[in-house]
Amino acid sequence: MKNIKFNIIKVLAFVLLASSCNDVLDETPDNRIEALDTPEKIAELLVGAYPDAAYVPFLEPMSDNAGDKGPSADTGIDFATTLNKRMYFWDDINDTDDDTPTNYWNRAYKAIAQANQALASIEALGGGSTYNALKGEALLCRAYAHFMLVSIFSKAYSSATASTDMGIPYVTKPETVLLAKYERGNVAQVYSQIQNDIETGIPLIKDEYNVPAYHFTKRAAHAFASRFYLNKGDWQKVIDHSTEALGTNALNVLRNWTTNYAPKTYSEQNYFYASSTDEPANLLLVSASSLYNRFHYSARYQMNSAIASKLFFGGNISGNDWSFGIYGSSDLYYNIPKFQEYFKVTNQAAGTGNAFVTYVLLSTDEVLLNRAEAYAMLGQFDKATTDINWSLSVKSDNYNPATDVLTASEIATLYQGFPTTTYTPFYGIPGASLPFVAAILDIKQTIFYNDGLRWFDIKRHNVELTHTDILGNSYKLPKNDNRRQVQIPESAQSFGIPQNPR
Amino acid sequence: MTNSNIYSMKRKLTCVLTFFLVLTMQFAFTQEKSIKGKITDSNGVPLGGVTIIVEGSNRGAASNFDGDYTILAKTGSVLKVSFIGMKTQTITVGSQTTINIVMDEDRENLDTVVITGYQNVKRELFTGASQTIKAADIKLDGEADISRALEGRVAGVSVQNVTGTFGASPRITIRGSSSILGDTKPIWIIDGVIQEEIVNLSVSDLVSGDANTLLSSAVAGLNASDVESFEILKDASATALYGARALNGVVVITTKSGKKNQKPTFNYAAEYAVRDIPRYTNYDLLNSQETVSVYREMETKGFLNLPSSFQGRYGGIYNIMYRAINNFDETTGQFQLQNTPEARARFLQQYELANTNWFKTLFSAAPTQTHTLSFSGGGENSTSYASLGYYTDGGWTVADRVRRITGNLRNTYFLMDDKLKITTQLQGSIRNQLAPGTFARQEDVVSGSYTRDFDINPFSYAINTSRALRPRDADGNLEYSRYNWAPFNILDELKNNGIELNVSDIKFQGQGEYEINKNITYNFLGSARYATSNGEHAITENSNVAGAYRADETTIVQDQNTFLFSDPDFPNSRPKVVLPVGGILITSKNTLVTYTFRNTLDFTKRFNNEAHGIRIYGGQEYRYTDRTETKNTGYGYQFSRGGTVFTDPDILKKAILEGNPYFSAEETRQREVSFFANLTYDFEKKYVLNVTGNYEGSNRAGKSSDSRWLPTYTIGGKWNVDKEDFIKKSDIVSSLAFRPSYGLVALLADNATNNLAVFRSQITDRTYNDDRENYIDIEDLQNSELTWEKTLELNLGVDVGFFHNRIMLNFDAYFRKGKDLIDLIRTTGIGGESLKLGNNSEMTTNGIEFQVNTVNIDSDDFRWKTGFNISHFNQEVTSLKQESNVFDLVTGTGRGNAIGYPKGALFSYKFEGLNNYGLPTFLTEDPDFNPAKPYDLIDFQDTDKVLDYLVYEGPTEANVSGGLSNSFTYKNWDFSFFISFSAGNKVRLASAYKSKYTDLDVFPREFVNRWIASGDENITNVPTIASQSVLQAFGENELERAYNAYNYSTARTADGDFIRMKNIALGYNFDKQTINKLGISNFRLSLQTTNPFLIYSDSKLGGQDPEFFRSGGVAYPISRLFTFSLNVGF
Repeated sequence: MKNIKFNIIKVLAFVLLASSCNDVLDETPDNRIEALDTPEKIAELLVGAYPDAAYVPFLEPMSDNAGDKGPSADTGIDFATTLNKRMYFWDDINDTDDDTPTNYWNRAYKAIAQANQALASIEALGGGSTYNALKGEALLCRAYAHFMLVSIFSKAYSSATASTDMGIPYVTKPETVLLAKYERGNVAQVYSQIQNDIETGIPLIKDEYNVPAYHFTKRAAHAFASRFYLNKGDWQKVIDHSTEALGTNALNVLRNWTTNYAPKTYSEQNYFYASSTDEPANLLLVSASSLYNRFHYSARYQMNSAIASKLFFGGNISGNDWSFGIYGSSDLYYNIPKFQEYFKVTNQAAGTGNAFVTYVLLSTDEVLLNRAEAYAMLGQFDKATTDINWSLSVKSDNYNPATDVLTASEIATLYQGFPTTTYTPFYGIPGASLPFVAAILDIKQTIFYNDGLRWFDIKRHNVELTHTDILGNSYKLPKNDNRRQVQIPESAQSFGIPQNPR
Repeated sequence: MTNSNIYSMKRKLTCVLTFFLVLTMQFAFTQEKSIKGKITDSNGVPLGGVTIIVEGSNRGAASNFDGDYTILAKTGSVLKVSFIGMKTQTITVGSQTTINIVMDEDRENLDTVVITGYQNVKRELFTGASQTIKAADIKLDGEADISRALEGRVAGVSVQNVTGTFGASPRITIRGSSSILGDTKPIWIIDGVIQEEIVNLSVSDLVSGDANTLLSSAVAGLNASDVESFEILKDASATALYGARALNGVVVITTKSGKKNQKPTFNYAAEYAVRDIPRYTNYDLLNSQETVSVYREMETKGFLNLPSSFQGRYGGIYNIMYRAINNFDETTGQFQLQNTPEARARFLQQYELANTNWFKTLFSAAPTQTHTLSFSGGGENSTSYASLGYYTDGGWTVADRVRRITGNLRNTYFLMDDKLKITTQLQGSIRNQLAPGTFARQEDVVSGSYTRDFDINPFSYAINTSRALRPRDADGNLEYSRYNWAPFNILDELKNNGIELNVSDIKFQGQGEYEINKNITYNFLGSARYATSNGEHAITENSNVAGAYRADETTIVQDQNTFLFSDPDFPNSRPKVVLPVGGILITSKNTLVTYTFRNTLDFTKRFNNEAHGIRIYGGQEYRYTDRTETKNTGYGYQFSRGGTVFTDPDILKKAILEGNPYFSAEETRQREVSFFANLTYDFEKKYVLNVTGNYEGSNRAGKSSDSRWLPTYTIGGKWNVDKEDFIKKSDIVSSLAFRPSYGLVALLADNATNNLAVFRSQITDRTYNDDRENYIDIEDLQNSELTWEKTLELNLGVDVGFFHNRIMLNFDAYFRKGKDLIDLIRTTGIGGESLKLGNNSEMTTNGIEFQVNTVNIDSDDFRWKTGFNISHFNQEVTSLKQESNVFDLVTGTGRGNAIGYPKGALFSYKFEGLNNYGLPTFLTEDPDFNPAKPYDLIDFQDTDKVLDYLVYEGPTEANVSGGLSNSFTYKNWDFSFFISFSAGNKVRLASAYKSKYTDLDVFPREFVNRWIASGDENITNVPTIASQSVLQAFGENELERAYNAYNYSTARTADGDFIRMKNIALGYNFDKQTINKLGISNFRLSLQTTNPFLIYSDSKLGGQDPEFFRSGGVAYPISRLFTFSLNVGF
């Protein structure tokens, strides 16, 4: 009797232990997603694989799009005031708030983690053609985030020094431990990995997205490739990818400020600028946690009178005025409507919540001018001129194609005698190409004002900058100056990631 | 029960009777006299089954159900009367033939058992640190939540009444708790089973005042009268069997049960408690005249002018005045009030004289009533206990009400010659509660404040609202001020905005104990519990909230009012009303389903003439807990139209676009399996060795099997010195034991569960709904190194008794080292997660606990007993990766942590006096200090080397606590008082200062010393009322931060030390003759007062309760209770 009972208990205990325990303990503790086991889930993972952070707020004041408006101008937000000031003087900043370099770093790597998880999950599921499009998107996302990081935190690409210039850690696997070790590598390695991801990824991309403007469509992927090869100086590839991105009727997909923006109200212009459906020029958008809409117009080191005159008031080389309307009651508030805030409310009574701004990451306007620059570098000046004319035709007041179209020789004349020392990219600009390159960079500076792109052109062409304060003191950023590489976050330094030299 | 069983039971009964009959006959033959009598306990309850033996013979008898007995004995022979749990008595037979016997409870005997929830262990063999408390000794009559009664009663247990609202848990920590970011609450065990809370709240959630705190008490559904005893398990050895849930200690509650062979007894207990209405004398606020003079100053400083007061968000008496000025009466052809200085002054004068007592307006002295009817009884083969309780609280405020019904039924059956014991238990409660309508509290880390939408907590209202405002005007009509752009009257609002909570909770439990042989017992326990809470937050169309949604009278209001909606799809549109009709009905539902199954085997044996004793206890347990939470916000519910729903689709668009889901559902699942074994060996009960191992598995980390299982262990010893010969002879020392123990306890933290990466579905934050997508976010990357939070504890205990244990001392010292504690680390960010939770931190806690219980006088008529306990600990976080931000460090909600300081430390901005504008100054010595922008350095989100400029004040949790109790019994009277105390912590004074005030605000007394003119900075530290021009000069955001920094500065802290007269009770038991005449078995009346007064607290608090957090919502301070109780047994 006793033995039987004992045995029953033993068996009972054993059964409970062996079978039920581990099954029972497999139960998911909450509403988390249990397994990434379907293409839908991987697609949703990739929705989060785009850096949802703003680089415009810290790159614009570093560039020559900013001047000193004087002490009356203030963001009204402490960290933004500090950020704006420190960036203008190319100082390091340790802040981790939204709109800072550290935040961009963190969010870009977050996007990379999402992409890597998608790739790892695809691999775990055996891959196959069902997952090809997703794999393509993941590779593009990973390449894009790394490219932006290397562009901000490392030196501009130079074939001569890339293999010795410090890169940024290129992450290809999901992190599995609390504190993993990472190496910065060099710029050449980073570029080669980016190129590899782009070239593997692009053929796989299919345009099967719910909200295409927020994803790497084929056109967006080509637009990114166009930017990438422009930095490498691989001109034919720039032309090929740009042409793919623009499609057959480039003129119709440009941002037509002349007819679609200038006649509209301020709010409507904001709406169109970042619209995912009503603006064909937008190839890739992101909604980033950002307060920039609250201070881009009021920050001290932004568009002052001098910048406004230089970029906008003087008109453009087509002989017309720019169609951009400069808003703001005085130069304390000069701005162009490009941003709109989405305020996600957490506390209605206190008026607190999180602010988001939609940024344009890739657009046809940029691609067109990338192609123009590539044509110019290859000596195809007529083609370059056509692209330049298209670009101007949609950004100028009263543009009349009959009278305002420029010829290649007109451009060459306009920029005759342009100093050869201003632009000194690693590849060198042929004398005949220089007027076109200079014209393109000037157009870009104006039309991408407050888009953050000017800084990348300055870096790529190694342009010397001078910032002046209200008292007339000037501060120089010489060519090859180390401060062109934004300092990596303090938290990364504290774990032994080498900082940029100062 | 089958027929054959009934038959066999009957037969057994017959056998017993026959046996007695035979004995009686035998005695009769010897011709000795027959002695009769009744045996009762000290309360007069008849005791059945008491054994009476004639010493020196083999004769015996037992009392029947009515306590009656008969025995034959000679004059001069000695009767020995014994019963389990009662002191054995010897009575010499005299000439009488009737001997009534009153049995006294053998207290010492009961105290010798430790109920751990798993086992009952003899105290002499128990190596852990624990304390047993009888509920009857500490019960606070009129207080429905038994957990509050533990305050000050147990050395090492801190009970802080951060809120006194029914259903909300006090903050309870044992030995300073062991986790830094994780849970710090002890677990509650009721009759052997973990009592889970319906919602799992963190310590900082407990002080939030949010509606879900009403569900935070694990024991709110338990009738205090049903509790028999508490066992507080404190050290690793005591809690060992609880393994991975026991990191923060264990409170074991045992409920009442019937006794064998006990006459069926009914007991009725009633408690009537009256609460004191709070008084302004405890809250040193300006009266209405002084307040109006402050308003006049504000008027001169550019505030309270017609446009801002008439159209602004908030408005008090000035708003009322401007409305009168603007009110054109067509019949008289005049404005209600002429806009002349004289007329205005006259108008304001009536408010100057109002001196409204909001406490009297909003609070009532409605009594609470507690009625409990209980039954207990037992036969030879079964015992039962049943109770029915009703608690009703008419509401301390006009917004509150509580009704609770509890039921408890517990039966035990003894079968197969007592070899098999089966217990069934049914516990249930139903609760209905009304509370003021409240929304969740939000942090505003930027400006450094907490805010709550539409807070109408009557207590908060009374202490935060100007006494110049009136609830009713001179004609007796409700008078409205302005709140969120809409009319507001607190009495009206409390009628139109309230929460109703319905909680039902039911638990079934069954336990079987089978004695396989005399050494081995098998025990099975199964328990199932289902609890559900339905909350309805009804905001009617007449409420101020609905009014705020409809306030759009002018373009100024339209532009300001955040409750209006601007449609982003129409970029040029104006803000518009999206709740044109109806109110809002927010429904929420929480459910809890939990099961526990346990199988154990218990082996006990003594060898070698009983010299060696061994006990092996082992078993397995499975726990299952599911919680769900659903919430729905119904816009456009028309309360006055029978609930017809009339919703403007745009309000949903507003809610959705702003990122506020209008409904949600969440589910959490907890699965735990544990295996445990415990071995106790003793040599002659002198030397005891105890080893426990526990192997616990949990599903907290989902499918990952890494660190799913955790082994914990403890080893404990005991030397019962009193069993040594050299002590046995001592007349002074009656008992002495040393208890060393060492062990590991652990906890799998709730907040870090990423042994595998945690993926969670989210919606993208994009401006337009059409652009939004589902996405899966990697909430936490995989941390394959994640492990359990652990604490190693060494406990050294001494128990000593003197003079036949009339003086009992217990002393414990403990040394705890917490390691692998979870905290937040800022990483390189390269992995994709810049802030990660990991096992990074360590903490040590060393403490001592001391208690003494004495019986000072013990004569027949008079008995005086004293109990005193005190405990102290030192806690230090020794390793921490997390950098707490300033907000957490200065607000005092227990989230501020820094190396070298105790967990939950309080820091302050260093107040450096006022400047020549009367503004507070800080950080003036900082190298970055810019006199032109003096408040730029105040950053509540700063985490970078913040300890360089913050000043350490002290811990937020008291590290000294204890209590002193005295009880006196004189004949039928008893009197007791209990003092609790607590010390060592700092409290943050209520945030009284703002950069901008309104004419709704009330001001503390120190405002009379405020800075008024230049030069005042040399004589006062009370900041000025900033004028409009000063606000413009320094910036509104900057001054908001400056004043909040002042609220969180060295000028605004007080010592948390207090000594509280917790309870005074006077009782009278009617004597036997009277109750016999009444035909009842006992009758007791008593008067108690709970929380009557504070004996000591920091004068800076001005008499306010140092335990209470003024967080609004549903939180109230504990109240002063006067309770009359009556207890009848029959």
